Amino acid sequence: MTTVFIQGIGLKGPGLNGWSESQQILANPCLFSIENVTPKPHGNILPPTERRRSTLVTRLAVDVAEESVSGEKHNNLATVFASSGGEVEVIHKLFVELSSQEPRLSPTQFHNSVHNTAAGYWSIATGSLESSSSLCAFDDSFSVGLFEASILATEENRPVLLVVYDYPPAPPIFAVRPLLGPFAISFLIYPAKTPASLAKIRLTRILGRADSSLEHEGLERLRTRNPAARSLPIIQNIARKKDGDFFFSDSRRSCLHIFLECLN
Amino acid sequence: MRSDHRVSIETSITRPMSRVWITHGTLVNALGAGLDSIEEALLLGKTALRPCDFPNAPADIWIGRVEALENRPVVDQLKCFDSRNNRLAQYALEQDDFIYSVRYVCNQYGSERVGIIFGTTTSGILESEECYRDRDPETGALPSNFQYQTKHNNFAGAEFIRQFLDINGPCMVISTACSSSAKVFASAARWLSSGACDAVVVGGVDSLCLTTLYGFLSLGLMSTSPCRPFDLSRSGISIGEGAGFAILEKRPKSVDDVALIGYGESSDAYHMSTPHPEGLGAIRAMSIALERSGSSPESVDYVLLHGTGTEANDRTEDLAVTHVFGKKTPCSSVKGSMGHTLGAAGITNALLATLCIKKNYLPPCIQTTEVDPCFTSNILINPMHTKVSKVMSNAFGFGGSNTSLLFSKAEA
Repeated sequence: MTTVFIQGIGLKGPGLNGWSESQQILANPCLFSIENVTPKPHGNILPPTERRRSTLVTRLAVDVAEESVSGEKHNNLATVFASSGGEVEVIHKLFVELSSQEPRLSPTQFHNSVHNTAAGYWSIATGSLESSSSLCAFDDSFSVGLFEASILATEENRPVLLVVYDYPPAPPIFAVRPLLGPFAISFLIYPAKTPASLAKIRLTRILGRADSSLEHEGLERLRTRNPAARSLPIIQNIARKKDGDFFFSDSRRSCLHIFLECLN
Repeated sequence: MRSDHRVSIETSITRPMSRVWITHGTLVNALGAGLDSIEEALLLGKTALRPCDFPNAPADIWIGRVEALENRPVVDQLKCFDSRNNRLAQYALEQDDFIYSVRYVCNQYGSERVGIIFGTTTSGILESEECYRDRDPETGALPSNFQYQTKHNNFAGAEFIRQFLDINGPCMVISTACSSSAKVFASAARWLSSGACDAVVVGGVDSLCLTTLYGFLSLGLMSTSPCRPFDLSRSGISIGEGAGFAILEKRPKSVDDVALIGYGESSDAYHMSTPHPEGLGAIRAMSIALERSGSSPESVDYVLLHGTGTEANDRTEDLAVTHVFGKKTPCSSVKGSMGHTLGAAGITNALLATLCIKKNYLPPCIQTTEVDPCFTSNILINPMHTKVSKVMSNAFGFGGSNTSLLFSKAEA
């Protein structure tokens, strides 16, 4: 069993422009429409050169990261980035070029295609020399990212920034991987409680149970159609300041049980 | 001037770690299949690099290709996972009695108490590249054999291994470029010490594909001769493919087992594809690994370098190793023998580090004839047979992602 504290939240998704602006919508989902677009990622925390070279996927990730650590010192945080598809736009461009007779890849596009691109840009932007990991667990990338980040926070007794993000892939891949969004969520996770802690979460692995779902049809559609939006049941409760039990069936015979206790 | 350079780093919050044990391992790369055959090839000073004969790949480069993967499909029950990457994974799992050992720990602890942490950067994108060539000329649609979840996605390999080995604990992929399968050891150590798992199967697999071959070519980092890490005339990397797996547990299973006693992870915060010029992140990773294990630099017998063979990588790693260990500790890179296996490089080095300890043997930089005279660390170009108790193993990657692992014999 692992217990950690959520100290800050960042959010971007369809009609959800930041955690502070979105809490009311999540608490009263009649204000939510799946037809809304996700605000365009800006990547303002990146230095101008890096920003120019960065992908929209990376800007999305660093935008929510920046929101969750607002007011905090940036460069002492270990980071855990998690995404199912990662840098989908660049990967598509590379494949198109590779299918030509004499492929010539762009060096910037190539180094922007790695799964840890967003993590790399974040560390450059913040000057952080700390440990950083980039994970993938297909549709379970949120719960597995939360599991890894929480264990890192408690085992190394340090604050950890978790960033989970997924962008819908380009058309040919979209046909078999039709994600909604873009959607990204970020938690600043502390190993101990402070007066500013938003919530306490306790993680345990138990025998398999069905995934937690949402009542609101649009939010539930978003939850099932973007791996980062699997976070919605938890953040809806935080927005409503309501405790709860959540289940993430990330394995065939076991699952992650999260008990949420709201603090502020 | 270089050797006098001192970089200030803070590693103030590092907590000591409880050691975890490698109770089993398996390795496949161009040099051989299984730890015994790779050990034999290393001892003989063999190289498996060859002129590039990979279909549609650039000419004039050298690669470390695993023989006959084309004739080794994955098992019938998991046919939808049949990619070059998963073939390579299965090939490794079938060596060294690894499957038997996994069954043993699953029986011992329960399969839901066994986790999987898998490192890859390529996943099965070779097959996606083929599908992109076969797109419908009018609609641009991919052919029906495009398999997103079981081949293309970064998690495909982990899901394949989970089903192949019937493991039911937590499962994740780490994809941090060339440090991927070194980081799996750090995460596994935390999963074990937190009590989340009783055993963790860690692994790393990367296979040849056009994205990496043309990608490194675009960066001007591919050597047109077999790579020569730390040589005066080094001119870049030779890409190889490889797979490795290990079982980590809280207690040893045999007196020979080697322990992971320290790990250090850091970021360069400098550039996406160029290492920090003073080796800042590398110094930090090695220093934290030492600190976490409570070891002095003098107690380390050997450093298994990341040593890719590019001008900048080798220069900064030499600076960093000299900064941390001084000029005496023997060190070398094995990439001249099997190539740079990218996402599999971390676990390849880790398992070779355990071999060095078990066999009291230090491999040289094969292919390297004249060490760059600017370098100040003790780079081996001849093998050494000497007592080896403690070995550090490095893996550094794009995005400035660095990981150093420290391994030790039971009594050390």
